[in-house]
Amino acid sequence: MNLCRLTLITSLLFAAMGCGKGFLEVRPSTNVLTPTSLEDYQMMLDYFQLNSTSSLPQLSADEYYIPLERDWLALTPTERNAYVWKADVYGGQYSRDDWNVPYESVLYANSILDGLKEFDVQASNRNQYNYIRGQAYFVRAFSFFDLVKNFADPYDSRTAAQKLGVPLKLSPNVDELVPRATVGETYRQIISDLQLATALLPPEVPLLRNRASRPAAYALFARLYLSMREYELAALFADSCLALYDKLIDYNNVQLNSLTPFSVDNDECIFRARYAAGYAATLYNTSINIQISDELLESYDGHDLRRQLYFVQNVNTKLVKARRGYSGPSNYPFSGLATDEMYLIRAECRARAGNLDGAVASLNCLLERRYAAGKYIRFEGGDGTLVLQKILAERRKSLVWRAGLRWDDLRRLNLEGADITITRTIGDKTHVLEPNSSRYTFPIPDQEISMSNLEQNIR
Amino acid sequence: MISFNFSLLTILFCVCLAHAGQRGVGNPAAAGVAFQNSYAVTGRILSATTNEPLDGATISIQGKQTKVLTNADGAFRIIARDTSGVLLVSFVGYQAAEINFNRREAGPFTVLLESNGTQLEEVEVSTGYQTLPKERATGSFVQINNELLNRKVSTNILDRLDGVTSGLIFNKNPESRSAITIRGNSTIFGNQDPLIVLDNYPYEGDLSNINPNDIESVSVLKDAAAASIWGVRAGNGVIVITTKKGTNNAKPSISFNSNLTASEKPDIYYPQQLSSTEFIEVEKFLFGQGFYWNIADGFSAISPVVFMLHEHQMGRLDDAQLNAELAALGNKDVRNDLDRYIYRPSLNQQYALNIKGGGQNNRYFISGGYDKNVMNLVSDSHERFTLTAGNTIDLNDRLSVSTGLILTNASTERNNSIYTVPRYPYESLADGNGNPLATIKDLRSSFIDTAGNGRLLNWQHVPLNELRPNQDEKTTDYRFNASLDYKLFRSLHLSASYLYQKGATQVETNNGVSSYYTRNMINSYARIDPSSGEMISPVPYGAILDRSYADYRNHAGRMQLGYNRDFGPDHSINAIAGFEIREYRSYGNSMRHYGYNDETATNANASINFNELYQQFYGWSSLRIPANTNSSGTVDRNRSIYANASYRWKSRYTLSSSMRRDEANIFGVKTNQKGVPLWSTGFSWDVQNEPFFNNGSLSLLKLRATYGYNGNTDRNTTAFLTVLADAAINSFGRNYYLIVNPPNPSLRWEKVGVLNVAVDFASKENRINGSIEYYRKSSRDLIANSPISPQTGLTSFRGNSANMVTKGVDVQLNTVNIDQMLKWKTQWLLNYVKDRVTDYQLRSPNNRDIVRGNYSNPLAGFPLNAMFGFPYAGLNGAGDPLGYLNGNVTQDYRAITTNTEPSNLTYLGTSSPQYFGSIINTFDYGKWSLSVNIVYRAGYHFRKPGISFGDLPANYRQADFANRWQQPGDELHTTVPRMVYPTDQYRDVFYTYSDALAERGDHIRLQDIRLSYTINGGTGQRFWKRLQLYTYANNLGLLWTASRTNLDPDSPTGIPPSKSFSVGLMLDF
Repeated sequence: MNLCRLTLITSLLFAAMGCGKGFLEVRPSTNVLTPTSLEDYQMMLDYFQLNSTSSLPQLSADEYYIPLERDWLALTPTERNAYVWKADVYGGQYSRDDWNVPYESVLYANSILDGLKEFDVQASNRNQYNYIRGQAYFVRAFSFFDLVKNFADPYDSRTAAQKLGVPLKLSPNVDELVPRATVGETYRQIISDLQLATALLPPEVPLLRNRASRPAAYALFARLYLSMREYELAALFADSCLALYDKLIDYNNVQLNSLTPFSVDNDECIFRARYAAGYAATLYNTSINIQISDELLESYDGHDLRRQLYFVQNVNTKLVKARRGYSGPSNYPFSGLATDEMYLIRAECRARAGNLDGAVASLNCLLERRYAAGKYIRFEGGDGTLVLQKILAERRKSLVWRAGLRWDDLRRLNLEGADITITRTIGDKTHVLEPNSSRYTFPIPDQEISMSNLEQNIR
Repeated sequence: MISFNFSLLTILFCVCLAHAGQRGVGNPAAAGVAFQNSYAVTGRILSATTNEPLDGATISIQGKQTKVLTNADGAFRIIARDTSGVLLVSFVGYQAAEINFNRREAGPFTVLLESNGTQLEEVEVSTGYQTLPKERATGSFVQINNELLNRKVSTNILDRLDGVTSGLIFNKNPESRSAITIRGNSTIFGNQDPLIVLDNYPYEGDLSNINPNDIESVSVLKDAAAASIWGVRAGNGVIVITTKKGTNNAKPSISFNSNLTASEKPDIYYPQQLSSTEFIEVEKFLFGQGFYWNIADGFSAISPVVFMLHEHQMGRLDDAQLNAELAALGNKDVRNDLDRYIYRPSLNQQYALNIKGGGQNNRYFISGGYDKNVMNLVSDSHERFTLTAGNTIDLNDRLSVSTGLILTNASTERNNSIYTVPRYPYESLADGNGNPLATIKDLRSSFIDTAGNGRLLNWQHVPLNELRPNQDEKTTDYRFNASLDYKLFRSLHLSASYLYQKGATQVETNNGVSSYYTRNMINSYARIDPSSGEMISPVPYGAILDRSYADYRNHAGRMQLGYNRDFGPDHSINAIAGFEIREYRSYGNSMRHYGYNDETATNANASINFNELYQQFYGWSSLRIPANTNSSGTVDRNRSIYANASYRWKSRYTLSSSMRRDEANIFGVKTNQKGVPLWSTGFSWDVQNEPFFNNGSLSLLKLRATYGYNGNTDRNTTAFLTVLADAAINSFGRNYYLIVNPPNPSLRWEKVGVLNVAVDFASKENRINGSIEYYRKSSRDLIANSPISPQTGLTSFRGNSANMVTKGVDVQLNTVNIDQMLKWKTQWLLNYVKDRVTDYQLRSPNNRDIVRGNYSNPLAGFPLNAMFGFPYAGLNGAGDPLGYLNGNVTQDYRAITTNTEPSNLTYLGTSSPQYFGSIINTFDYGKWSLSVNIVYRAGYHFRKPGISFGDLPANYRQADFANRWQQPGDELHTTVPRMVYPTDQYRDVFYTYSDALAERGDHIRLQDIRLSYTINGGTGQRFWKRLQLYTYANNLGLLWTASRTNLDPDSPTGIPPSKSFSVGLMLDF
């Protein structure tokens, strides 16, 4: 009976379809996968959020002010409170990218490092394998450093063993919650990650500047040791960085009127990053009611091209605000690592070590390229204090609106005894931030505190 | 597992071969040896109206104890010893019959039973794997018959279950993630939708593709015994839809149904909002405070009021001019224009024609349907053609072949940018003469008017010029199935079936060059060439066409052995076992054509550099031209084995049991962990068939109890790290991966244990019948999304983190209240359901999260949809709200909202009704029939919208602004706080989630009324058999509500469904 056979054939067909090995092994979605290859891990490392840093230090630094009280009132709670260093910064904004995004980066790094444990390394892929691992360690170090410099008290070798740092998540396991490490432990972890990264990363700065390189690791080391006030080490790493990559842009070759004078892969950029959280009304180039510190603006002289390239005046309000810096066409200001910062760190550390000639040379090398052609009058140096002051002043003028560096400097220099008090005036009320105030450390956002019972910073 | 399947198949194979060899040798009818004196009386019992066999009819011989029941074919065999006698045939809902027999005339008899009119219809329930008489089922089934399905008029089949189905609720609370819930929730973040089965296989397409006129009946499977045969997809209950079928030996019968439904315009005045004058007041206030910081940027949108206030401030407008302008705007209400130009009454037309019948060896059903809906938005309309055909041929007495086909072609037109949410309450869409006017959209009018010195395209947004459809969605869906049923032995059937379903939807959105969307795109990327003064835009001049395509293909195959046999009068066994595989693939892509030319179908994409960043004409952004080209696909594969068996003894005791094991291609999980076994067992006792049962008033008393497990899946969660290829690129033009699921090695499938205990009863003459069911669902390892500590790198996480218990009672009662010339019947439905989260591993971080979203992170010890509020202590003398914290009155909103102790909150009850049901009264008088459905919901709360001042500048669609505190003394008669600036988020959260805004949701609603007039064609003098004219009115309104407000508890925020009125005609030839 034909139909009976048909039944049989159909049955067998089902059996063949359903029982064949691999029937259940098909990937359920074309766009979702479990990463296994080095290419997969590289694509995870290319996720744009890994290249971002907290915006809070920019909001709180004295590089700008808000002239009108009503404009201040119109801001979001975090922008408003961070501006006047209120004890409660977030004003009901419960979850903040300033904290969350660096930890998201840590998750990516940990997931990749975890996945690579099982990876079968061959001679043919060893270089790429090392490159991926190096990038992952770098991302973790970069993120932990961003967290510790904002959410923990400044590094001080005398108190580092007691002061609370940040939780050091080292595994991708989401069930595991870790308490805050000490500041000392946090810095040791970052240094250890950076050492591994340095050994694994290639010496060339890649065209894709979102990816780490050995110069980037050296540059981060330099920034890190500067913030720890380990000036010798900072100088060493700034030097090591510049030995591998020392390109500077001559601002005379930059189109002054362009809306985006610096491309995203400009020559000075070693590692690209930008601010993580969108405080658009204050931070970004869409903002219109903030004014750059008058004192800072006046410190640029007429031939200084930085004045024109870094700032812009609103035609309606006449207020001057910062532009995007080295972040290309992005709305978010630059917060990555660049060679100009390395020249300045090297200069400062040399000056502190008494190598004044070296310091002056490093500074002049940079400043020649910041002034209109032929207009730069070489700095001839002087006594140690004068040289250091000059370098710090130029540091402030060059690294403006970048990576919260001004805020980091206020924390660091006050520990050095600079005694800088900053003030904000809102209407008839003046807010003062005393040197070494506990308000130099941001509170940890509410979501983290309530979910993991971390000890909050007292402000 | 694999070897098991193979051995199963091998057995089937051998059985088949063995049987093929035997064919034609044996004669099953010859089996069975009679006693010396006795002889068998045989026959079939059929329904006189449908000619279909009656399963379970009782046959006895007058004066004797022996009773037998008919089998699924309506056949019976009873042993007689006397030379002659009288057969008594009875069946619930039919008039009893008597047949004389004697030794020589012992059948086979064919007995046609006439309906007795009050029948509890002969109910067959379908699980999708088998059809069984309800009497033999131990599980919980609800059967919606054709009459009940046809009570309502709708385009969509599911809508017809609303308010008529025991245990099933259509969710109206905004937290619900599924439209329908059967017996409360049994999952939190897993799929909440019931499984929908159409003719034996899950329906994978859009249910709106199904023509309700083709549907014969719907069975709802509620407990484990009924549903667990569907395994991991049964956790939320199963709705089994059965299409109409032909019958053997029936002349072609033709049915025609047509109706017309009109519904009112939506009541856009229902949601509360600030009046134009009030909103102007707010804008003036905020302007005075300097809120509009964006005025200075020169381009971003500012309202006409803010613009005038600014002009006034700059001295370009004097006081009198300003006041006159503002007063004129204050008199406008944009809803009048929306009502006049954007909305219209909807009109749905439905036509359906079907033919069914059958010959000796075949049964067929063919139907065609056409629906045309003109919708409420003036741009929107919908059309649907359906063709359904089913045919079964008995090739011989062993083998039958069935095929079925459903074909749907639907098309929807709409305008995806039609203007329904005006930006300001005082806008005008047209001037006094009906000429369209421009409104503010992305940019302020002063910028638009001067930008580019007239070189740009017109940048105005004129809503009334955007009323024609710009989007066309076409769906083609077809579903084909074929099955072979082969009788291996007398009682053993082998069936093999196959289903193929494919649906494809293409959406074309054509924004012509005159549309605002396209003009805005071209202008935004444009620049004015300084030398020529001409506009240059990298976005080509011409229409922008978005074309997206999505399809799915579903293959499913099933092989099943069925065994159905009575052993003597006392034992009967009904069993199935089978193997099933399924593959569901979906694919979608979309792309965009710039500079599209309709006539030549050409586009200018080749001229675009999609990687280039273009400085925008205004502002600071540099953007790429969006390519909008994406594609994606999914593959679901499942493999299952299942078995279900029931044994019935003496027509009194039934024991049933089922098992199923499912496996799926879930991510990264090893094969042996991909499966989950689920089972159920049940028992029923037909007390009325007990010899001792001698209750004159009851004809049916049946007790049932079942227990078992259903499952639920969440295919998005896996035990391994997974990443998603994002559609975007990073700053360096690279694609990247996003983590979508962190590793979770302890992930398990959700399991729902279901206990069901029930009693079914019917009085003699069936004046009263019904059932009472109690159930308890215990859901374990529920997958839930919970906030998580951000140090993990995530802010929320999905994993097995909850257990839940749901208990309830379903009562269904059918009464015949008056049975005279006037017949009055009532169907009473009462459902009670209460759930409680018993364990939740991740606590909500603070009270603010609990009040805002307990359903997403529920507190253990409370219902899933528990509603909490901040205790409210009224306003103080300054108009600021007061709350309680640890028993003290306080104004510290931050402390109140970030407090972590739930005891500082008021528990307000649940937001999903604990009691719901309906009362359907039907009155028949001669040719007239009137049916009225009154539905009710009780035992729940809703939150009435409160004003959030922080949202006010951007959102005027808020309630209670007029009632806010404005001057000292107001606190005595209002609870609405005063407006403050700058706004305080904690204060807004405190007020909008305070217990002062909670309202009881209990209500009674007159859902619908149906009136019909039926003429039976009678014998021969008319060419039709039956003609029915009917009218139907739906959404008639609230009869009573416990709320103190005028809000409809089912729509506290949206717009309640409009009243609709239908007229129709049904004609059977």
